[in-house]
Amino acid sequence: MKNKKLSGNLLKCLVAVVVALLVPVLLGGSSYMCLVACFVTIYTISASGLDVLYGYSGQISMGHAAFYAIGGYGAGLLSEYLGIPLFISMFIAAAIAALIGALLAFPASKLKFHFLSLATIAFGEIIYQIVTNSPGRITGNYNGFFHSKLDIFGLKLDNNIKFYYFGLVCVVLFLIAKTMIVRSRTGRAFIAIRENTQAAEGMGVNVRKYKIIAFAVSAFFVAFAGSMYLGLVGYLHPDMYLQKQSVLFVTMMLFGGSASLAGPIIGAISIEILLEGLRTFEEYQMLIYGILLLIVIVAMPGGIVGAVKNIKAGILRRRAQKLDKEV
Amino acid sequence: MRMLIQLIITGLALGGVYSLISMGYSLIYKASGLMTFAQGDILTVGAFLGLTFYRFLKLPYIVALLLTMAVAFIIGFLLEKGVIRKLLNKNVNAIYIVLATIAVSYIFQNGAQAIWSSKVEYFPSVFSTDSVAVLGVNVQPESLLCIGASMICMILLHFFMTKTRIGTSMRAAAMDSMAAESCGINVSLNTGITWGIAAGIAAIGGIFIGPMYGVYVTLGSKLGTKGFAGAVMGGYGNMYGAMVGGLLLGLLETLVAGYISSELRNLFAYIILIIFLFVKPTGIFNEQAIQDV
Amino acid sequence: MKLRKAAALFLAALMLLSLAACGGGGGKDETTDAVAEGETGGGEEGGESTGGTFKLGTFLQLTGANSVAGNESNNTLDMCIDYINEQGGFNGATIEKIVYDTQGSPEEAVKVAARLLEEDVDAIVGSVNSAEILAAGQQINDAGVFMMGLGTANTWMAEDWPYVFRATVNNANLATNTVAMLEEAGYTTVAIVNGQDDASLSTADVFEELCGEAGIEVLTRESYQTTDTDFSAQVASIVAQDPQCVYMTCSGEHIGPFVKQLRQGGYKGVLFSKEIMAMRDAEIAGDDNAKYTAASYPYVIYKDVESCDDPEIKEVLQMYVDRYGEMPTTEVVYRVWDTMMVMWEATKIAGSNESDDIVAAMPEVKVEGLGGPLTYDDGTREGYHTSNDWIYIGDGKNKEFSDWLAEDYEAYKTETGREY
Repeated sequence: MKNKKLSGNLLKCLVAVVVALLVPVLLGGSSYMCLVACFVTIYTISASGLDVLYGYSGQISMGHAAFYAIGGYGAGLLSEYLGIPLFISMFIAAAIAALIGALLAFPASKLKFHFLSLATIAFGEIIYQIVTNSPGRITGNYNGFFHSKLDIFGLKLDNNIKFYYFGLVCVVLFLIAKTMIVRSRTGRAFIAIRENTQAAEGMGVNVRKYKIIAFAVSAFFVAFAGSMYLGLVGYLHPDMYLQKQSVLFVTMMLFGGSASLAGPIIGAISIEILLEGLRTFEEYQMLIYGILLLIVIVAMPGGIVGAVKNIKAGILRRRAQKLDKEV
Repeated sequence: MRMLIQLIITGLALGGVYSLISMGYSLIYKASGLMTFAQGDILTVGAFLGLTFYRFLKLPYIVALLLTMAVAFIIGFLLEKGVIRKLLNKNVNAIYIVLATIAVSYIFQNGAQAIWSSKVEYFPSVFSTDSVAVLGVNVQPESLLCIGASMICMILLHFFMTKTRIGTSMRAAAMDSMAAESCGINVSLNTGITWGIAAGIAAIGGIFIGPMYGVYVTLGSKLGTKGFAGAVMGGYGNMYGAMVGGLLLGLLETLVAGYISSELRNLFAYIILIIFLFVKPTGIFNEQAIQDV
Repeated sequence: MKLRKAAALFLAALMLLSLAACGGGGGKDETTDAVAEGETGGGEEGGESTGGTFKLGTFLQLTGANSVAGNESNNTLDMCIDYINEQGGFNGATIEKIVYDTQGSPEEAVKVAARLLEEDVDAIVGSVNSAEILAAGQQINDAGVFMMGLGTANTWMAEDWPYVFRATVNNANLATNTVAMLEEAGYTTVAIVNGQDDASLSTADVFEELCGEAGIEVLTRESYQTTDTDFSAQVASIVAQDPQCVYMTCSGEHIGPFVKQLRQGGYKGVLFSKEIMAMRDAEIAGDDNAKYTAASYPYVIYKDVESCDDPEIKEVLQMYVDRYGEMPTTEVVYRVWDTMMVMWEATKIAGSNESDDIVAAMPEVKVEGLGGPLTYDDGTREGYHTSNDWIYIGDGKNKEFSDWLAEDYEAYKTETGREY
């Protein structure tokens, strides 16, 4: 029985992967749409990382754009000044970000909800300030930071379709990692902390340690996404790391549905498509986006996945009622 | 020495603006245990409204002021009723409320641009003189107005919260809404009034700083974020704390910018915020958090 | 779990299909139910159209801080396009504008540029924000599409992008002229204030370097950030140093408040600026405070159409006022006008609307711009090589700097009680 369920899930994952592989074909090889798809892979990894932090361990961060910046600038600076090829410096930068995340989480883990969000906002602003007033102008401050596009040991990712496949591989790897973490003992500790911190403490869970781990993992994810951006576009600018960016990640995660594998994916895809689609409204794009966002939050607070769950529960309930009536 | 005096006085003047915003945050937190990101943009809307009433419709200043406060109050009240209350009733996680206020802030900011314009509008000063000399230092009269207004607000609000029936019922509702309801307190109405008052305070801030900087769509958004720092420093939820915290923030920020480097001023403000959060989250006035999530 | 996964997959597939749908359509798309449906592709496939339509793409900052420049650019573009279309368009092709909002974010600029290229635009007018041009320029150049940027920073023209030109002035050149103005007035000390956007930062850097070469001492360098509103600390620092003059590279909504606070702080000397004083900023600063702001710039902003004494500029301003019912508040109006005139001339010389032909024709373009002659034969892809020096003397009027030094300098010294 269990084997059947597992193979059923595995089948669905394989189908999803096959569909994803065919995306460039479905998009007719359009460069613009492939660029959007590349961004979707980057945002998926970010939203998934944030999901580990919020969806599974219940900690809110409104400043994760800081790690996005650390990943991007970190990878770029390591490559530029230490000569490490970008592909390797991406991982190093993500690891550094994880370390910084852990350091941040150490004092932050004892903060309650609203105060934790304020602390993360402050952290986001601090990193923004550092990036715009970097010592010796190494980040280029407001002139931005240029770097050549990603080059994996000679394989140049110089067009959007190639980058998309690279992004897809990254997404699959990161999602596998996320699933492993979530299903492990660590993941169960996360959920215990999220549901009731005191009870978890009482059961012997080292709350602080696991909160720090959650932060570090989420930082790693988002930082890697940030360095992917550098590899895709080749140019960084501080204005990409304003609070708006952190809000975008949170929105994607919540919109799709937190504490799920598919949720951040759906969130990333739908928000990105929404924003691109609203472009035709020119200067009203952001206004309409704000209005739609508000409507969705008020009407569908569980995100898409939550709404689907409600529909499913509704169907089951009606089925049970029908059965009751018949009996 | 003269530079020090100039920095102190202008720092306090800046702090007066922060105080008004911080007070709004503390008020909302004290009365409903929630955080909102919309205060900064309500300030912007208030500035535009004040501009419309005072400059375009040529109403007398006091009328424009009161009218703006009234409109802002209604906006805040409707915001609570239409958005916050609905979400609270659905018993959702607090993060959705935060996200909702962020969406509202986008709507306010872009809506203001759609209704008025993206230009920097000129807000004529209500004072006949451009600057006032305090201890030999020239300050804009509007900054003194801000300090004065925040002091008045602080006293009024404190009085309101502790001595009046409505204020006490608001605090009761924030501490335990079920118990409050069973005591016959209309929790929903009380929270609505709170948000309305907070919006009104932010709008006043907008009208006061309009003449100083001109009125434009991003006038309030960054002030809104800094306002958090002021509120936390003083003790999140404490009216006196918000006032003191705001003034202190303005002062420290200006001193750092003047003596160390102007580039570091914002970095400094946020470092202070984070240090307070880690070391003394209850702030200067030792305000215990109402809700432990 | 299973059903959720299935639902997720279904939605994902739906998204992908709608992606495919909007990927297939060119031109503008209508959005109906944006949440589930995505886009329904609708426009016609754009292509090389000579004699048909000329698609002019543009990415501008239409919302957010300092979006007034983007919005006035947008307005002026519409005005210019109608003007040119009435006279036959580009080689007989009707110009059609496609505009998207970058929100001031370089990341958005990248996506927007990709979309414009997707819609097969024939040329692009780039944003006023230099950071956005820096972000999007590479892909536009790689795609071989002719672009003229509206920003004035020297940074993006330093990149090796043969398809990118501009008809706006180069800030670095202006910095050189401003240093010359300082030397003309005999100043030996200066304080610098710079904003934190690409153009302001790079111009201040160039200025500081040139001061070093000219032997002018920089007493202090202050800065502020785009979201700052209070400059009291910077003002206090400057006043304490008492430089003979101040050089500011501020932009947008900061000039007004900064000048006001600087004057109130007690500094009465000449202020040099990278931008010309706009009427709106003078209003906010207070007209008296705004006096004695000097700048090197090809053209100036006027209070109203009547007070404009330059016939060509007057015509453009009148056109804008007739169409939109208000005076433009920034000089981006002139920038866009010059840009479109240059592009028009290039298409005439080339006799074709293809990007490669236009690029090849550019070196031969000679247009009388609103602020001086525009020529492109020196290989820098820059149009303006000359500028004028101005100083604001109040009441909406600017005067030639050299004339002012000769005629009014003593009066200024008596009025402010300054030695310099």
